Amino acid sequence: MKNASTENVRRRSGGLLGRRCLFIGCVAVSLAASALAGSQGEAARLPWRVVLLKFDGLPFHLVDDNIDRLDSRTARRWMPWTRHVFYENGVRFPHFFTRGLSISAPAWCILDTGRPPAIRFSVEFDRATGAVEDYLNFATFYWDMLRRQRIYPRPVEVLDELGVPLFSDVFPAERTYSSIQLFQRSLRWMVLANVARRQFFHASPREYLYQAAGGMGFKNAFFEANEREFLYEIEHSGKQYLDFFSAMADKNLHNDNGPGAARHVVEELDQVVGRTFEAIQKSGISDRTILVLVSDHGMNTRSDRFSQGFNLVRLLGLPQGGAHHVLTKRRTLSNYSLKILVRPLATSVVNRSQAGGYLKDKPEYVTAMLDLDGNERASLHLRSSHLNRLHLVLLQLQKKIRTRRSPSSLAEELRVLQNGLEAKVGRQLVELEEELGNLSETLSSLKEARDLTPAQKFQRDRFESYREAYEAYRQALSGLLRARPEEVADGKVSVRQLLPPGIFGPSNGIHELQEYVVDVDMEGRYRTLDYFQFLAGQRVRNTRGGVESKPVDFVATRVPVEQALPALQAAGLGADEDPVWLYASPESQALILAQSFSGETRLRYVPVAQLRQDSSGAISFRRIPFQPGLPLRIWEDPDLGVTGRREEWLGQFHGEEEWRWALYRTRYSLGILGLYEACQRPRTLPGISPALARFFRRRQLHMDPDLQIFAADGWNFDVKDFNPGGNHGGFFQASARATLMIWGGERTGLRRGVSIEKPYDSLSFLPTLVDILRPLDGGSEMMRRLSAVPWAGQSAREVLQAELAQAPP
Amino acid sequence: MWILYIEQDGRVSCRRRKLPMLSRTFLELIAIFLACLCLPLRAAPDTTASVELRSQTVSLPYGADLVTLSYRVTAGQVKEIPLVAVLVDTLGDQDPENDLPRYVWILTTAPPSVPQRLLSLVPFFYFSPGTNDHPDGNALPPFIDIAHLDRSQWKRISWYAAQSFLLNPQPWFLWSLPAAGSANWYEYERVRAATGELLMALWKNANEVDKPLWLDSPEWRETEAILFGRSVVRGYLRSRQLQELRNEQLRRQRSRLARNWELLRQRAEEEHLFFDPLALPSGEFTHALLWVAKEDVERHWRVRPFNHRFLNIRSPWRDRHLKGWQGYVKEVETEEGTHHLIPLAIYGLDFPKIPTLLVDFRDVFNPKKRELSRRIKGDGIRYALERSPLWNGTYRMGTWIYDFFTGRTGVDYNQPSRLSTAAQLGVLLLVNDQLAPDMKVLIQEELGRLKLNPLTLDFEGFPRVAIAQHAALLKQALQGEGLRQRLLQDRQRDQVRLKHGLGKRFLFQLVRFASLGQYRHREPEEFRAAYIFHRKWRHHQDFLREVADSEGPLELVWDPQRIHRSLQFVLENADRLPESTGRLAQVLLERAQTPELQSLAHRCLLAFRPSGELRASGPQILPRPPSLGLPGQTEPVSLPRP
Ligand SMILES: [Zn+2]
Repeated sequence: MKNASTENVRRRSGGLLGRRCLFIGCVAVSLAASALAGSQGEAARLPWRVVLLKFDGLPFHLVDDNIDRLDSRTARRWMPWTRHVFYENGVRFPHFFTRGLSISAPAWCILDTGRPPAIRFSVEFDRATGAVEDYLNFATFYWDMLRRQRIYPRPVEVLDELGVPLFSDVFPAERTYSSIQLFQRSLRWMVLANVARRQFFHASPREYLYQAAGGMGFKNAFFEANEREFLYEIEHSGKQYLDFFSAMADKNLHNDNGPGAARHVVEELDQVVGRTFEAIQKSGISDRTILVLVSDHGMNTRSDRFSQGFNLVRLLGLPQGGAHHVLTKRRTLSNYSLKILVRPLATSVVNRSQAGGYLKDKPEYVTAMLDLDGNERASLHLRSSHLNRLHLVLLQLQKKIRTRRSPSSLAEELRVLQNGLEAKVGRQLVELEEELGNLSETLSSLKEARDLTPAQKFQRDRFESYREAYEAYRQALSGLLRARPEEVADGKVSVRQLLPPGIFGPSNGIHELQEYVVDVDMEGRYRTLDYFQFLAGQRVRNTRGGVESKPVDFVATRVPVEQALPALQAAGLGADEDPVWLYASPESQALILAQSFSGETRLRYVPVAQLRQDSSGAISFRRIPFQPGLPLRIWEDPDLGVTGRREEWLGQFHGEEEWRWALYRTRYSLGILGLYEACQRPRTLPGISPALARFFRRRQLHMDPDLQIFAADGWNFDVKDFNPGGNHGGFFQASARATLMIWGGERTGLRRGVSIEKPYDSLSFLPTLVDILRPLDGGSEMMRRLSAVPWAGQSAREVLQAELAQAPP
Repeated sequence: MWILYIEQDGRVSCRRRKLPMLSRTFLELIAIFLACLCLPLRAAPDTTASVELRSQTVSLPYGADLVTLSYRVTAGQVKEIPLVAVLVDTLGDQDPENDLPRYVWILTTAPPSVPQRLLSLVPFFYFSPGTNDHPDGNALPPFIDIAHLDRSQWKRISWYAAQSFLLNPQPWFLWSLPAAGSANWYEYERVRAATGELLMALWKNANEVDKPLWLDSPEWRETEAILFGRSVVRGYLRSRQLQELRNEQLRRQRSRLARNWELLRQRAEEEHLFFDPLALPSGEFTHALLWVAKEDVERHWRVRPFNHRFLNIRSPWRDRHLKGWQGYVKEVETEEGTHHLIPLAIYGLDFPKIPTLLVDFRDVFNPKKRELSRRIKGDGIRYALERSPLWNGTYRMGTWIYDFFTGRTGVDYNQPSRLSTAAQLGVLLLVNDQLAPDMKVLIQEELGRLKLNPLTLDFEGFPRVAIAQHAALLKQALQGEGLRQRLLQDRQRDQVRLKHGLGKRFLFQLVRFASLGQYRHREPEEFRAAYIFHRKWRHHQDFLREVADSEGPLELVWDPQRIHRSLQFVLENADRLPESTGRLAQVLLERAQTPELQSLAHRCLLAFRPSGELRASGPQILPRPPSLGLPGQTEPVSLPRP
């Protein structure tokens, strides 16, 4: 699989660079392109074909609620095609959930790779180097492509580094057509040229008038040009894998909760389904084609209320929030900003705190990073509380902050802190040195090698920049560990040299988050903050439409199992993987425990209260009985699918499937499974080579946030704009329930007009496709490779007619 | 026929009765007379204000209905205030499918009086002498005249041309009066359009009123697109394009409202104020009020900072006026306890980027100066043109840069005119039942100060003007000749259009012009039946064309019953219909999948010409064969499939 993907990389990149040309030229080429079409004969030779319609953020309920709707005046159906193709002649999954967080990058990552998400957030932040990975930023990607500094979008580069192939990588380049999307290997310059053509050249004077009166905008032109090429390829080319990606649903539903927007989305969607279906009918191989409509997540849009924003960035910048300078991927209120015009492609922005504090006027010292993507949840990185203390001690030693503490007590504390840091990162730094050595070796061999493909060249450049940044991190922390109080007090080394900006250092444990150091007072006492209580305790006055006044529903974080185990055992509990701690209020908390039973991981939900960790690392908590108001509110949920007494069932460990059946109709859908997935330690992945695997895993570990914050129903954390429509990211039914519908031609053996009642999640998507396609395949190399993949999810074989479904895989 | 009943509790209600034609008209006259008398009827005092929208229909003897949307307030007394009236041409039959709305009157606005008109000509005159309270019913021109929608556009274009080519080269004293007048008039029309748009939306979204068929017809939607679209070119677009534009426009408007709602809510929260959106009965939020709690003023006095971004009001934490507030106070219970709320400001939400300040309860001049700055800037351009090219260029450059920065960052000095939104707020106050009557009076007073255009309306006068105009309109419709003449003329015009080509129509105009308006071509009365038939045909033709233009198998996309109904009409009247209808039948035949629809379409086609060939030219009565761009339109049509 891995070899195949590098092969593809080589072939594709050559073709792509060869096609690079001036924009105007592209227009001409695209005009000529219709003449150079492939023949239908090619398609006729294909054993099967898969056509995917990927609609970002299309909630299942939006389709399902409107499927029978008629226009009140003309009695025209809103969604005739979707109804015909998928409801009457295909298979639909009313309980198809996003696995983990319902946000785009990880959700598409699961759908496109068939594995647990290698990319875990839409924005990732490296605590070691301060780098921000913004996976959803198309603008920088295109800009880099134009400057010849990049060949794949950033998420694909990262997947390659982690050694995770895409589904479409299985197909030879000349047999795939992917439209513009997050995980793509090719860039469609032709489409862009056609967009320009659609936008500026019209067929009739009336079209120009229409445009002038505010008609079709750029977004529509983009959509149309994309769709046109896609349909053409279905009808006329010999491509075996085709996909069409549209973010139209996501955009519209974020913005607007009105009935007009919902109707617009479903009608537009339906027309794409219709035209695709007709193109398939004309393609000559409709009998062995499968057409799939899939979305990555849903959306919590409701017409009876506006989604309300709660500004976490501002909150963290306030004195009572810790006076952080907060790093975000997009500018706050970017629509109203002039600075964005100066730096339109910036991938990160520092939101300067106006509050005082020891970092006043030093905005380069960012101490918090917020990823708000999806807006219904946020992940928060805070600079290590330990580093904050070090910083404060260094400043006091240099008399940049004046307190009543004596130099000797400061020197003593510096040593204690250095020892503490040594214990936290000492081994890491040694390992990192070794890993960087491996990276340097790889780099020098890459530098010596001739005839590198462009993809490899870019990879080499990236490795170089990783090496430099991590080397700087290693040296900075080593320097900090070695610093002597006298040197610091003499001013021989500056604080900035010892503790450069941008380094967040090791992750904060529960104790550090409960007593997070934000400043020091005149007596030299630390001012601390309990972030769990602070965040979950926020209240808002102005809410409407039945949205509750508590914007933060709960906060979640992982507890290292070795720290939790003594307390768990004392309470008669056990776990062998990191538990997840959910915090709604001091008296309303829960632990999700994981234990493996003969190879299968089983989970258990335990209500607790007053969980604390002291400075020695010891955790304590109180077990409380099940009661209403606990995080995820499963106890009181009328739709919890449990027979018998709830206490009994909930008091035991259950496997994933059992939980799915119990939870799939509840308010928070598969929240327990999702939180476990989202808060897990990053998995060990193959990487590019065994020598580099550990380095890239370390990088992933550095990208693990301290806290995940979940918004209450109807709330969002967006700051770049206002999202009155709706949002996603959490586990509410509307957000987590995505769309999956499949239609197949006569020979595919797919059932017709069937609704699959069993709950599935996005890991099941690819295995199901492979199971549908396998009987059609004559034993090709491709299918052999696909069959060999150990898919993590369960295949929904019941989509096939009985005789096929029972055949052994 | 509608009869007004006065119930025991003093309420007036309307019920429909079928009556012979003669007594109908007579009774109607009495009823209307009574209705006019009874409108401000007193009733038992009621502490809770409730608002109810109603629609009333009065059948006019010349084959038309006058439909009035009114609201009824029960707050101490029952008041029934008419808002908007529509004359629907029913052609005297019971079939709602061929109903056509012809004229719309916005009853809450009155045509400007003579002093208003004169003052509007004075450049830089930013005051209003007050509205004409007692409009003359006979001269009440409709706000919308569907037949002449393009007229106002032509007026605007020709005025613009005249101004640029004829007037502008003249010395300033020659053009300044008409320029000021036209700018004021243009703004006045937009205010009226905004009011009309709000009222029609009210009608469309009201739950308690039954919606007439025409409110959802393509014709009406086109009308709305042209009227509320604020773009000159709209009159020249295709029907479908227009409807798409209208939908897009509505979506954008809704998203504007929602964003500004949320912006203001967040800002209010951040500054510790209370956010209170004002909704139409349909639930749509168009305006919002901000309050501050008296208790908070005490608590945060001179301590709490205040960020006025997007709010554009003074800090309440340093305002002595608020500390010793004696004015209106509202008491509310929240999670924190009881609050005594003092009103701070009202914002309009239907603005491009930020909510716009309409009322500042502590600073009368605040919204006014913002509005003035915009007007002075605009008027300044006009006068700058007179100076040297250098001065002109600099001025334009300066305003452009100013506009760009204020527009981008959302500064409330550069918003579109707030007079429209103010007028909408005036309507909202009438139909809103969440505000206390005292508060409404307060807001109306404040709004009154925003009258920067001599032509603008009096908000306090709304109900008075509306009742007077409605009475005048009823009188005119039932007794006067003007409306009847107008309707008959419009029908005639449609009939002439129907029968004669462009050349002949031009000839008629020429003769009319030559005879100084004495001669006017008329179609004989017999033609009326043909005209009624034509309207029916249009209804089915439009639908069938929509069906034919759609993608995908017909039975899938459309309700087959609906297609059947229209095809049945075609089948029954095939001998009178043009070939364009035949072509539609053929397209339907080609695309139909079920035998029932196929056979019906087939029979339709055969009815056109038993030989299966369509006639070369249509029956004489029907103009403008629609260009469909469908296959088979240019080629001779072959026999349909068996
Ligand atoms: Zn989204």
